[in-house]
Amino acid sequence: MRKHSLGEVTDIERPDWVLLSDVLGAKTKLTPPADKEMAVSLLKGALDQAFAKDPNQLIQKSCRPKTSKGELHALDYLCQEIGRDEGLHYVASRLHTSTHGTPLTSKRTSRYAGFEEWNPEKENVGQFIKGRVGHIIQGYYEQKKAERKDVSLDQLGEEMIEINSDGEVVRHSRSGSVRSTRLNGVLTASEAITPALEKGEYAEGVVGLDDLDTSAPEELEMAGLRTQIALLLNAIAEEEPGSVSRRRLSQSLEIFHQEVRTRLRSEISAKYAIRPDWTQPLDEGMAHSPNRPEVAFFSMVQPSTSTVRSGDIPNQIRTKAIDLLGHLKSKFNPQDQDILFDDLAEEWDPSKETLFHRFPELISAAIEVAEEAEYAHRCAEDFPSLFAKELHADAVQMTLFSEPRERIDPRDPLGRHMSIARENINMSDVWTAQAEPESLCYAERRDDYLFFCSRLGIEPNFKLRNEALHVEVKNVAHQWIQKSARFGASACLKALDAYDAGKDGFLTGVLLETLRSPSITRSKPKKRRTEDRASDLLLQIDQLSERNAPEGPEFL
Amino acid sequence: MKTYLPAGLLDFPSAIQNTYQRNETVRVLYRGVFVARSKGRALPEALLAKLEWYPEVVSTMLVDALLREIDVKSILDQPVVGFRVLVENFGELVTSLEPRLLAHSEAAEMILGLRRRAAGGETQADGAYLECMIDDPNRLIRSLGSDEHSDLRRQDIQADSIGRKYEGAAWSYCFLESHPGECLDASLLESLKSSDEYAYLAARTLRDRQVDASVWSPLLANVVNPRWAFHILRDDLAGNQLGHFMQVIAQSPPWMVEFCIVAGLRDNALDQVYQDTVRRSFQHPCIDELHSWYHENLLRRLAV
Repeated sequence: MRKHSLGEVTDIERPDWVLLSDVLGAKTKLTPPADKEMAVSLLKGALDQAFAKDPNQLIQKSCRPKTSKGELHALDYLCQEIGRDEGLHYVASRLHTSTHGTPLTSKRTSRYAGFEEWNPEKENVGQFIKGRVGHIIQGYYEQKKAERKDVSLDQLGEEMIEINSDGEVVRHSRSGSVRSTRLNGVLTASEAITPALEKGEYAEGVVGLDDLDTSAPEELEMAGLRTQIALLLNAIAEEEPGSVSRRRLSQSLEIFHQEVRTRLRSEISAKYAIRPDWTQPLDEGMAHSPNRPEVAFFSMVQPSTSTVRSGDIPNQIRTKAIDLLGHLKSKFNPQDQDILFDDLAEEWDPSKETLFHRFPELISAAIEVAEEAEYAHRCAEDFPSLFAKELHADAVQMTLFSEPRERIDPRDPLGRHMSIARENINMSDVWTAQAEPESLCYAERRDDYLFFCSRLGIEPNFKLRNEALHVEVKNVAHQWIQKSARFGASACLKALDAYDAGKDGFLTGVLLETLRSPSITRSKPKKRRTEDRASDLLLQIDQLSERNAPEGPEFL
Repeated sequence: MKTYLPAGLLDFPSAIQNTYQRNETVRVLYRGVFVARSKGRALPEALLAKLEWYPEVVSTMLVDALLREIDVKSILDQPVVGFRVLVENFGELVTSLEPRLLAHSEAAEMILGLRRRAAGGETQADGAYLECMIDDPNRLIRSLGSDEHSDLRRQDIQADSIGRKYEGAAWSYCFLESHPGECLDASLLESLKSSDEYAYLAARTLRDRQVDASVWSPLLANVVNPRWAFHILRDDLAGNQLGHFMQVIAQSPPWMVEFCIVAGLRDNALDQVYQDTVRRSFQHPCIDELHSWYHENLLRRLAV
């Protein structure tokens, strides 16, 4: 799994251990002890030793890590200006001795407490040193500016060199052309070419595959991933179908898609994560408070109706919970719905027990629906190509639709699982079956109808023939699509609308073709301007007025 | 230096989980844990059995405080699964899990390997981890460093193995591995049979030394662990016991899926293995995942 945050001090993958081991020249590398305090103390001790042993190497490794790929740090400009040794000496002499009151900058003097200031739990050693070096160099230029010397921040600014508070060169240009440099992955080369993509310059050959960022997908920000995917799609479209290069590009695309998928899923899961406090019993003082944990939960899964007004808070929670159950109908069978509804409406006392405590199944179902909706939405909005892929995946999901657990007879699990296995093995026949025209009029010969009935757990009606059968096929298919499809529901329903059950063969084949079609993309809802909405509203009011007019002034 | 660890040992089968159904399964696990915790109940047996196959989920739940270590003690006490739980969130879990896992030499070997990979070489803390492998000479030999002192220690252990070769499967294998010219006796072979892992490793070693199959084949007769049955089948060591090992591996859908992938089974052969696995492991916690995996495989075939 990808780790986005600063690792724990006890994490062996935290780069500090390698960096400090390298500077210390340790033949046997340092690794963190399991105890956090010991790890912090070991890191701090190792930093002191590393600085004492080779300050220049420590500074250089921190400011120019291996992953920097030639990016320039303010230190490079300082070294260019006053010489490498002088530059490093200047920085090193101020890095650790500032506890003695050496001014760092004209504004910041002796507040810096040397390496004691480093908190390994908040930043790693590289970030810390880099930040300190940045301040020292900023101080150098500010001092020079004050002394009216040749080089100043302004002058650097004129030369299009900007330094941020961490001492990173944010932008640097030469000969008037602005070139973006990467900054810890924040500003990537791919981001730099985004405007070109937006202008359609790629199509004109201005931006080519050479512009692809060579960073690994996990090093890129979302915007960078989006750009890379756009470039790859364009490049794939230009390659001959079946060619080696096209295959390779497609493989790369899949890697980027996978990264996006993982990242989106993990972001969304984190957003909707079950919180440990939800499992706690309801505090009496909290029962009538608008800050009850359920309020935050409703604002997360049902933002449009989450407002809680002053008054009877527990009862409002009950009403919202009943509304929520209404939204989640498809997630429960009718029997469970009734039980849940009765419990919510009558037996549950929301002033004594939380919704989480009493109805964890409802909470889980709500989270599941919200997660899927957000994933589908973000895919469609930001990564249409991935969305199209997920539609294809949905074809798989649909066929994977498993029967409700309660249908597995606990007394005969072997028989049940064997029957699932047999059904699965026969599945390829179902999806590839070609219908004879006369088969379409008999229920027992319609593999698609039998398949949908079996998946929905309903008995097929073998008496149906012709038109009545066709209506029923569409009916069960509709139910199946609604229950099974997550992303492709609208496309499938559209195909179902256009489907003629008496002429178009089995619906299974039609659906699979539909879901596999690359042309399925969800049209982006256009953002409507306020004036458009207002004119629509006026038009509707006019229409209503006209409709109401013959019947008299009913509102008067 | 001689590499003692045979290449390609698989510690955990994960292919069965990598289907489109995975998100749904993980959700079911979360739901189950949440319901149990909300109602103040112990985790149901079936849920616990399933969680065993999802160490990364257990790891995240532990970090998020949705699970307590005591809830999943039986999972954390298994060296391979416990190690996988630890690896997923090493920084957060190392304090509590590492001491528990170091009681197992297998886990100690994996933790040391992980630490070395992260550090890019041997580390100053190696000694402590090596001590945890003291009861398994083979792991110790594999894990010792490349310095002179380690070489001497390695030689000492190998010399010791002559006198201790009947003390258990680990010492028997240590002797077998380090004394290729020595004659094999019935007691040594009997000792090797007492551990599935060492029976497999010994069979492989002897096969690689061109020893006749009639000598090493009986070593495998007692293997009942699907993990080692998988390795035996994968390395083509089953010989005339193929049916027996297919039965063993069919009791564990996750290992069977690994085998199907490695062996490249498809069409009728795959269908047959699938049905047989369902018949033998219909009560396995991953039986639904087996259906999903087969299904997805089928859909891929259809797409072609």
